[in-house]
Amino acid sequence: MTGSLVGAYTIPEMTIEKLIESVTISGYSPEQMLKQFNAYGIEWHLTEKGDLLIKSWCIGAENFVPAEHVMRLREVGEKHGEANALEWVSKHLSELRGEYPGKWIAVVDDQVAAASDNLLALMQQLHDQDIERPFITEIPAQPIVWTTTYAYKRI
Amino acid sequence: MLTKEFESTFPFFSFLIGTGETVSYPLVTVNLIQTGGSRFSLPLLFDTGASVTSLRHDLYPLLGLSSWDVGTLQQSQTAGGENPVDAYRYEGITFEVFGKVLICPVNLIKMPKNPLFMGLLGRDTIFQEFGFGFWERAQELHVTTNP
Repeated sequence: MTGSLVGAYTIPEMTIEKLIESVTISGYSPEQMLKQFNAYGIEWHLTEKGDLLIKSWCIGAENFVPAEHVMRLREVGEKHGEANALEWVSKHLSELRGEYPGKWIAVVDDQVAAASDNLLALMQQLHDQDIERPFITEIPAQPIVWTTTYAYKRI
Repeated sequence: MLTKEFESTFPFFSFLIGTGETVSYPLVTVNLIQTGGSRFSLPLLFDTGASVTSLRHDLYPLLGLSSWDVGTLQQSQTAGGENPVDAYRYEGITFEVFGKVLICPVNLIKMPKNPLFMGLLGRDTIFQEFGFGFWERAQELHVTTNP
């Protein structure tokens, strides 16, 4: 890795700079390094150019990876992201329909962080609780029509 | 032989429904970015048949609107309907899609409620930024950010 480190984010007994330095010296690949960040619970993001951003979205390392590898490597960190909220909702839909019929819900970190009868009230709750980047959906009270023009059924 | 390369693959979402059947959808999660910077994640159905990204009408608060029907009235044809339905168009909505921040038009439209998608990811502006490979047999959506 030839990128330069720009930002620093402090974690217990270690800085991001030292962490990056330590894994770089160890000869880790970018993918392994990102997994290390995951293990430390550090949120990260790869820019389209391949720069590595770390929590607070300051640049952790410029030119961290080639641009063509960005999409693939982003998947390494998806477990932290909102993308998996959809997966969580889909897996727990039965329970959610039992507990929140007709409600708007906000999902954060694999749990329902807020629920309300309407979206405006939910947004107010999210604001009051300072909840960031929630995954929003509504759990219908009525039976869901699954077989639409857009989906098929496999028996 | 024509060859295209994609950097990422998104499996379709499959669900076991009450009848014991499995249904599958090509779903993607996008971030709607409000003017003040707040982000809300929304599940959308990947839809090459949608000219414009369309959201459920009752999501209007996320766009900072007082009601869903204050935009430019459009007539929109739907896949399942014989007659066009009303849609209201809003310009300059910011989304983060597959890691890219894009500003595009959005239609608000009344559509059936489904907890797993709140609208349709459509073509205007957004599709120009990506290349897509749609593999129905493998139930995968392949994406490149460098079309």
